[in-house]
Amino acid sequence: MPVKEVSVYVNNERNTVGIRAHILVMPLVFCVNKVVEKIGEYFKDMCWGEYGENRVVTALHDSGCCHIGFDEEVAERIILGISTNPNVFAVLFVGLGCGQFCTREWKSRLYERSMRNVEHIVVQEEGYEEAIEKGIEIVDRWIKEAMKLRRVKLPLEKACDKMVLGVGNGASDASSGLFANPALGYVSDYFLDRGSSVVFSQTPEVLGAEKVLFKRITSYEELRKMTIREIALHIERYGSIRERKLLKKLSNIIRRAYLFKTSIAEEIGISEPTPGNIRGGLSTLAEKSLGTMYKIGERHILSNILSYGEKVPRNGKLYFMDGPGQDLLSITGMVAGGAQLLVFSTGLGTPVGSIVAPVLKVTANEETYEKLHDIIDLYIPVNEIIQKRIPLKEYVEKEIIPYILQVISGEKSKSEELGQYDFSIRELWMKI
Amino acid sequence: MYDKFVIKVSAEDNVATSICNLDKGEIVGVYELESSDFVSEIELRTSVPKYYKVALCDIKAAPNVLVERLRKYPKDSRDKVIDVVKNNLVIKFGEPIGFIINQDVRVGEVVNLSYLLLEESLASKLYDFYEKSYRRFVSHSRKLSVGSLGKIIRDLKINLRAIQLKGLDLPVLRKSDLVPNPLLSRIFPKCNIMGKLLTSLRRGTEVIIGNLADFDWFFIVREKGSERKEVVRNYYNLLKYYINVSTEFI
Repeated sequence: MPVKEVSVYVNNERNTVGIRAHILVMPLVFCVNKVVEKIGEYFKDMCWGEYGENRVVTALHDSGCCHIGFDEEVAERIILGISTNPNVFAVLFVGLGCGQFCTREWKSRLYERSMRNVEHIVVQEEGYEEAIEKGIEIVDRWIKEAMKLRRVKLPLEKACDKMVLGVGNGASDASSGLFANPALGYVSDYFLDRGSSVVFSQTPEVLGAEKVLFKRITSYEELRKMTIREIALHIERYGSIRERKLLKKLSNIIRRAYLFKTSIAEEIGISEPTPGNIRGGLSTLAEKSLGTMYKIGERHILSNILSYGEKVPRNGKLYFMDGPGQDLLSITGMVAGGAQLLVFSTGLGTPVGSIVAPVLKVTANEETYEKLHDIIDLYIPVNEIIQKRIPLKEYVEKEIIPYILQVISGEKSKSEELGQYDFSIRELWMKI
Repeated sequence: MYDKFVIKVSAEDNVATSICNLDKGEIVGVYELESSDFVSEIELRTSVPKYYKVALCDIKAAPNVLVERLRKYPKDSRDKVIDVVKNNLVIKFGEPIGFIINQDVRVGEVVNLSYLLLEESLASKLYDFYEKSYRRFVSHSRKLSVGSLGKIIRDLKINLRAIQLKGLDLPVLRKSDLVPNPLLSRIFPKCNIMGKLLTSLRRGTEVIIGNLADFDWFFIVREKGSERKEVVRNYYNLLKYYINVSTEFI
């Protein structure tokens, strides 16, 4: 019986739906990590919601001070983005007082985004123990409010309309490109068809499969047999303004990625495919990348390219976020962009999770699932599918989509069960 | 109906992927994902480990001269490399993923970077060598001069005759394939790359040499006057210098 409705937290003021209602404690600089940790520790056994899926989450990180220009911008975008994710009910910012971010007007900036439950404490002003006490007091008050929140049953289309789904992959092997990523592709198409936006990232994993992405700029059928150069020329000549802009943006990103790769390849070697990938049967970067591109589905064209951590528009389109290949950083970027849920394919297995959004992991590697079923949510039984000639799409709609909808309605993902609330801020420059 | 099978994604593919360990001589079905059906069968000429690729037709190796020319005069785009080696392409997902080097691959043979297998004791020596070298590389940030597998083996005083095939029934590479072949030093230009490849293997099993080459090794991104490349290189060297200074200070 197909699921027709899901239970979500509706926030009319922000015009969003959340699939979790976490209380986020965010240090504005690494120096106050201990303060934040102690606040989190106080509420470690506290959870609310039908499945106990909502918690006080602490976003410990080692950034927030001595950044230079672009790193400062990225860190700020990530902190702001994570704090305004629809899965966040309230945010407590904890600053030291002298760091770059400590005294900025976070509260008013979040107010501008219709986020009401925001507080900001500064340790150098309050005192160490006092800041912890005050933090506990504020969070305690919010928990009482959060416990009164009730999920609202919405028709699937209506909920999907306000959702952003992130898709990614990590620790890939040959099974990822053959089954797990195509399965994710069907998931992407399913959500896009129902009005959700879908975002994918991991720029290094586009290298070698540029052609696939170039073809997704337009819906021209004749591009299928063309080379990358021919596709680019075709779009330049016959494409719309949007398509030409997108082509230019995409070409620049890919050229830059290759530039980095080839400039220092002789010094550092090639980081992709990773040793794990090679062990898993993926011999070349092109093989890995072509397999990963299946995760974006087949039917929808690429709408735009976003910067790392940039807000993903909620308009039911497909977006590419220019971000690093590393799992956690790419997940963090997408969650800061507003993704409420992430579906992640894996071959060799990874426990990675995210601070405010559930991360569902799908594998088609039986051995991995047997060993790591504690951290992997879904297994695609390849042998059974082939022996019974079950089309993958049918399997996804029958087995994978219902599970995803259950997680949307509050059921905990494996990463949440394990308390894997991972967070990291990307930095490009060295710390001086 | 086949108990054992390999998976082919697209009708244009010339390799398929095994999803379990397959032995030499077995006849396996070829299941095509696009049509969701078995489309043919092949007899395996070598054993094929789980998730490795097997050739569905004969694929000729790119002539050494051609590969050498590509190496010396890299092309500026992937398309151009693909055009040069168009008769030697390995196609998966309906797209080229690399090309065959060293020697021709026949239908039913494994296609992979992993090629030679070492006896456990020899592979362990290579691991130890790698680990020591890598530690040295990290602490002093010093480039290692080891340029090829041949050199490593020479350093370790391993007799090439001692290299034995184990598990996979692949043709033994001649000594000439290992030592003087410039292609190998292209594939393993630095020891840490070799090390990276070694770490990808289960301890004591295989050494990657490769009958499949990645396009990435053969093309460059041309920028005006290579200025941007220079910027990236300088940035990297700056960081390296910074780390060196810190280490010496400590």
